[in-house]
Amino acid sequence: MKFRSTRNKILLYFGIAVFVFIILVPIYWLFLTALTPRTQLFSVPPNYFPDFTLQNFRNLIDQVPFLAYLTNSILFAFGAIILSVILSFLAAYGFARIEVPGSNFLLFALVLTMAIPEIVTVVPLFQVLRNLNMIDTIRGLVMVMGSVLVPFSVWVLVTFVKRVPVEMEEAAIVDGANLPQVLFYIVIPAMKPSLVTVTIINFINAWNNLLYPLVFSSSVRAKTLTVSITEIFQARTPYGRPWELISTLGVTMVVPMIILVFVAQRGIVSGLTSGSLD
Amino acid sequence: MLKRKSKFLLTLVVLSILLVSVNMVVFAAEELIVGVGGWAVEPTKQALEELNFTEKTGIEVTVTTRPGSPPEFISQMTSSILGGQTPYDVIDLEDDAAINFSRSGWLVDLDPIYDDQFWDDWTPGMLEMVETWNRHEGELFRIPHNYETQYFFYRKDILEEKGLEVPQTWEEMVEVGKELTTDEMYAVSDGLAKGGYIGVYVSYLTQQAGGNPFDFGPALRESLQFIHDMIYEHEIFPSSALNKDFDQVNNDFVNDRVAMMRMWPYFFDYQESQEDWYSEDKVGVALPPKGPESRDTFVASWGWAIPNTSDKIDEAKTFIEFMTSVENAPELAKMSTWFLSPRHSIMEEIDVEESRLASNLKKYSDAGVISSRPFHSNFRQASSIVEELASAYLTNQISLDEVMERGKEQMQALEE
Repeated sequence: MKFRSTRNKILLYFGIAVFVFIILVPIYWLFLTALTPRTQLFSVPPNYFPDFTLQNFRNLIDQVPFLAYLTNSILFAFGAIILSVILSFLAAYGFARIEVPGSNFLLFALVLTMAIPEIVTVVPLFQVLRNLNMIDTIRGLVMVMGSVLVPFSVWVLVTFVKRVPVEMEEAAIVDGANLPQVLFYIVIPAMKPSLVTVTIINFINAWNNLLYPLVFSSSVRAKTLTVSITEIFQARTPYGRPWELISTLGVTMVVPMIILVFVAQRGIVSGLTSGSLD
Repeated sequence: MLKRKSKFLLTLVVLSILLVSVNMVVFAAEELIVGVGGWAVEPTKQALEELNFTEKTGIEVTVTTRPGSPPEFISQMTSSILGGQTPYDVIDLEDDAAINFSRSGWLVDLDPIYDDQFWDDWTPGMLEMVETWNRHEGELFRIPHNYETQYFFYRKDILEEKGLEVPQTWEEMVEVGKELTTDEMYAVSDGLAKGGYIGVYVSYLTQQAGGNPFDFGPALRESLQFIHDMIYEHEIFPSSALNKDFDQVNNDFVNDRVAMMRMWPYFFDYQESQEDWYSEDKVGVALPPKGPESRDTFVASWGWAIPNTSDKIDEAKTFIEFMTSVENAPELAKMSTWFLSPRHSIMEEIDVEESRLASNLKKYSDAGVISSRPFHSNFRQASSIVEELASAYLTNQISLDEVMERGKEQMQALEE
């Protein structure tokens, strides 16, 4: 019995090790390429411990308007999460607390929009943004991305709002609280893990989104880091591929995500697993 | 509690104001937007500045980077053009994108810019390329500004050391190749990975065998057989090349692992940038070894085009005229090889001794070995068919007969 238990543990750890290895190898390769001098990139046999350099980062900054793209990415991602989380929270509260005929159908219809492929919506959205004079602007991108993130966020948050005991809100109202006070002092604190989770997930989605910035921006005033990957793809010549610059850009995109997930790890885990009151 | 909430609210408000204000300024959209590949931004800006474009025409220009990878570029252009706009008033277009866009009816007819006399400056080979790749239903939709020729590079020092002559035919390439191949070095190589690499080499050899790869005829069969023999029978060509792109093969060349190869002109810059390795007596450029029919090498080209959804079509035409005129073309070619072509005005004025690329372009042009790229009106899909089947054959997954049979079927389906 003990032997079987030990064997199962070994198998489990071996499986986890293989899984982690498979996950980490591409990330290791990404970092390795970003830190390898271009001249050593295609060495045969591969050099797993080359002369590490930061020159690729300098070259990247020279090659694209990096700071402008980074600023745009930050504004785009933060704008999208602010818009989507605020709207979604209010909508979710409405769906969870206000009984109106057809609200379930409305929620279903909202969730159904998640099934529509992004590419299908691009041309109509382009026309909407053009009419609003928002092509090639961050606020246009934020509006589109925020609206894309809302259905998922509402869908997740409705469940969590329903888990907040309505009696707590009623008690606060009896004590003289108005609706904003109920939301800020009762509902939001109770939903903190789920709000953190939705915020992080939305941030990751917006940060990594390529399609909307690619299609709705055409200049440095609205292009994001993801778009620069399509530009750096043939940075030096129409035929070569600057793998070291592509990887360096990948690293600059991935590192903020890794930091964010580490920082918010506890919130994400509790939000995903329990959703309970704290 | 209240304090924390206030801070939270304040942060939200500040971020929202910041976000909205960042783009409240309405940017003037009066400038002509020119979209070029990332590598061409600086040369284009420099050209406009040094030739005083704005002073002469009164047109302000913003040169911006367009996506380099075709799928993203097509996504961007499709949505904006269908939405009645365009991110660029002038685009520097490669061959296959130009074919796609022209067939979609997205490009402005550029014929009115020039009269017939302008074309006297172009060589017969270039005119053939213009007719095939830049004209559709009688309209000129792109004016090329360069002529990206493929060259045959060889290790001059090693051939001299072994007392070998530069091969002049496919047969000689095999003979010389056997002498050159060692444990450390293969005689010949090329980028044969799928995705825009293997198709180039197969097209290059098929043309030398007297055909067009998209016909799936005897010439394609002969070229594929030749590559297969070089890899497996004569063992002078590495099978690992089937997974390599052009960068990797260039790297093999400058690391003494390859002695001869066909390559695009960017290899001139690449080899010279290897300062520890490069010397003038190390790398030679010869005419391509002759195949069963010819020793042709085909060109790719980039050129200026105007989307018909631009609201600055007249200004865009002025820009193209400025960048391609007989007066300015030689000046541009002197500034950057990105604007180099064998147009008479350029070849007469440029000092070919100063530039290895220019001198070799002249050598190839004078020898009459430059020809137009094998054409198909559905170039991307047709190339994909050729690449898939060629790769399957060269990795011994299917026979040559199967390549021909399946290729003909798939091309017929594509035509239909």
